Amino acid sequence: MKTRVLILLMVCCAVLDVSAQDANALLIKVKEKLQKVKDYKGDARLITNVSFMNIPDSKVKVYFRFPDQFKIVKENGVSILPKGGTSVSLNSLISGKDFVAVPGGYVTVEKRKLAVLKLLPVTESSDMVLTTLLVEESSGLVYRSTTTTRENGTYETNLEYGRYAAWGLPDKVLFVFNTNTYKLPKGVTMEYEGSKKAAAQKPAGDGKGRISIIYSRYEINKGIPASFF
Amino acid sequence: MWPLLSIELYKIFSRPRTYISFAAIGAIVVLILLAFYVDGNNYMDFGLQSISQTFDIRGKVLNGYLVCYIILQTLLIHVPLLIALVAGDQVAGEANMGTLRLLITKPVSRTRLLLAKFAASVVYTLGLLVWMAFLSLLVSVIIFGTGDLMILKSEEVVLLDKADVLWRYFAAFGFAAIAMTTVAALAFLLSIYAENSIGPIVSTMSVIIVFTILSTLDIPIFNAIKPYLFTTHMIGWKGFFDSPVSWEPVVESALILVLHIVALLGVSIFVFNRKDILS
Amino acid sequence: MSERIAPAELSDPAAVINPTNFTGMTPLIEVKNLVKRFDDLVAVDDLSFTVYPADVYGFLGQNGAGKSTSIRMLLSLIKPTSGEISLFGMDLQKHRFEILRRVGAVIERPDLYKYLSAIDNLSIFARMSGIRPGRKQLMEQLEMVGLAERADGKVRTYSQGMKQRLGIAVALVHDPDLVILDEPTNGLDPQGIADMRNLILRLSREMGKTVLVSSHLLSEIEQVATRMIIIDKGRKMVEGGVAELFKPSNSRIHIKVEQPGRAWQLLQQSEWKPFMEQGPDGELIVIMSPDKVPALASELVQQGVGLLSIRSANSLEEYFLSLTSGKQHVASFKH
Repeated sequence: MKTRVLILLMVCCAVLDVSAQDANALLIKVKEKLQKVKDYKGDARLITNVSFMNIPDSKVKVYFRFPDQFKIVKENGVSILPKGGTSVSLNSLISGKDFVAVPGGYVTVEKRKLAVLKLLPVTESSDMVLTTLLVEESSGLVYRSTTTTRENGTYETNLEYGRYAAWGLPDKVLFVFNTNTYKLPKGVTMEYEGSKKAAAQKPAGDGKGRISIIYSRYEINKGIPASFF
Repeated sequence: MWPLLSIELYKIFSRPRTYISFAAIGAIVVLILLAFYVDGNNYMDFGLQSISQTFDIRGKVLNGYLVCYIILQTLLIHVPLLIALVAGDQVAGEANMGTLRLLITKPVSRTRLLLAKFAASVVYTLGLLVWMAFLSLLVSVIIFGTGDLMILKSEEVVLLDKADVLWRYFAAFGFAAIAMTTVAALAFLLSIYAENSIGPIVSTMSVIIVFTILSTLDIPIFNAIKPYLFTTHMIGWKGFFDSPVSWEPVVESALILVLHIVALLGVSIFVFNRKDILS
Repeated sequence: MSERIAPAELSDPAAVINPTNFTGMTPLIEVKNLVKRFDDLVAVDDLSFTVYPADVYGFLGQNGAGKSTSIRMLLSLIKPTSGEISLFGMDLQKHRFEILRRVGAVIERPDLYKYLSAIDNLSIFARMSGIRPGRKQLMEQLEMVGLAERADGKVRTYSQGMKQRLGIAVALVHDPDLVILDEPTNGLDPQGIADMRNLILRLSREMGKTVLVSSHLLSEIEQVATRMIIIDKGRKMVEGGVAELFKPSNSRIHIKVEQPGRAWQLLQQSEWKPFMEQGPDGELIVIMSPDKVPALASELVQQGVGLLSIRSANSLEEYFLSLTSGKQHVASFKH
């Protein structure tokens, strides 16, 4: 009886070990794909959907430089992005940082079989607590990443691929994050009653904000100086 | 009508007190501009505290459009005093000076005289607003440049695209003109009852202050009467900075104000035509 | 004013026009049964009077007698409670503009726009009267009242006398046919009062204007007026030609009769008409020489009117002094 339990345990360990190795292999595959891109400049549309924000869709330029420099610029304009908005980039998440990858089985999302990778930080001081990646094994493309942080709550990135899939670059990124409630005293703002009526008709949010970036074009590996960021 | 109006305008613009208002607005706007020029970024950090915890705000939030909005928001509450200063003086001032009795013995109907006086007050009001628009919008834009306009409201943050702002200011100034004309009409009516101009000026301001407090306090018992206070509708210019503009309440507010103007002016004419001039 | 306006050479002012000879003349001002009530105060009570063209009509009464209220009603500043006012043969209510275009007035203090210059004030009121005089014409007006040198000075800097003169210029700028001066000598020094007197006579004689002038001082009216009215507590006490009223030989004869209405009608058609008043208690008051009383009495008796009493009262001068001496209580109308 004892031996049988021991054998079972050993088998389990062996299976886990194999899976852990697979997970690391998959992570390396993902990294290799992403490392093909040293820098890019993308033209995109930024769509903000936060219950208490009324922001028009705007044209933005997205800049990236390996390993983790990332910037969204609205030319001559004002952009409001969630804190840690730089983490929108996958690259910055998994490049050169110390993680332990743990396999989490498979899930099917939109008829696509995706491997679940859980990344745990090695350092104690890391702001990141846990990241879960859903990766397509065949292509090495990340379709979703969910990151829980100490300071900024949980955010989720959904990616859709198309024309630039070969570079591991998404056509569309949907970023979902937690929002605090927002309220200013009315005495300060001297609100107009008419606006209030219109605002009241809006459905209350689910406490999450959504930001979509829809890329129309990338310029890849054309060289962007580090000083730009 | 034009000869009468030109006489009334001449009278208004010959008086030093008329220019007090222009100087006051000039001084306030210049002070605000200077303060923003020197210390605008600290102000912005403070103002944006509530959202900068969660959000990164990039770009030139402090621009001419925002400064203009802040100036309007701060100043439009106080402009009624400057309007009342002149509109409240229109009849009461003449009574006090003793010129009213001479005016009434001239072959001009009291209705036309009153309309000319009111029209002159409106011209003054518009002049004041144009002056304010010139300083707060044009000068702000020259100093701070244009940019996307970010407005913090009690339950919403609105960001307006740079190209989508200027027409809103024109509309807002148009609306403010209606709102301030309502103030002029109120001061004008009170002016008919008084024989010195302090009375109508003080009572106009009292009415506006009391109504504004009632409009602003978020207390259920006051909420019921809010729609019936014209001050509630006077800040309708802010409706133009919603995206999209909810036209229905804004137009409704404008109509309510126009109705107030017509009613106040109508009562003024009615009362004045029956009044015995004893001054 | 004296240095500019030559004192008119006066003899007896009343001699200019024979005040009894108005038959066929259209009255310039005709007031009938005028009443004005302010809440429970009756300021003007059933007042009737007539001003003929070229009259200098004196409006005499003590302060609060209803002079100002009456004058303000003539100028449409105050709406009468009842009664009729017509000027230039037109009803005031219906033809306000036509009438006011032909009237110039100084009402109590000559208040003008202090922050404007004299010429600006003059120009404004000229334009309000429907005319657009050029600077030259305006300067001529100011010249007339001796203010040409200070034409561009602000009225704020003017003395009381200068304001008064400017007020007159404003009243005359549109060349009115009727000039109404309400207490024009108030606040003036003796020289100013003398100037005003000369101006009134000049307006009447040289410029052919009809003048209605009010005062609480009998002496002022006496010196300039051709005809006059005395009012007290809003009621007419007496109206007539100044020369007749003040003829030393004339007395106020109070007649009590059995049928006052009929007697009134009869006398209306007689030579006594201009000097008749209806006194209290149905008394008839006639200003006449006491030696004509028998003729009057016999005329009434002949017409079958029963005489109850005839008595001679004091002279008009004494009468007015008794009004103004404070013996009689008069509700004052002050504003």
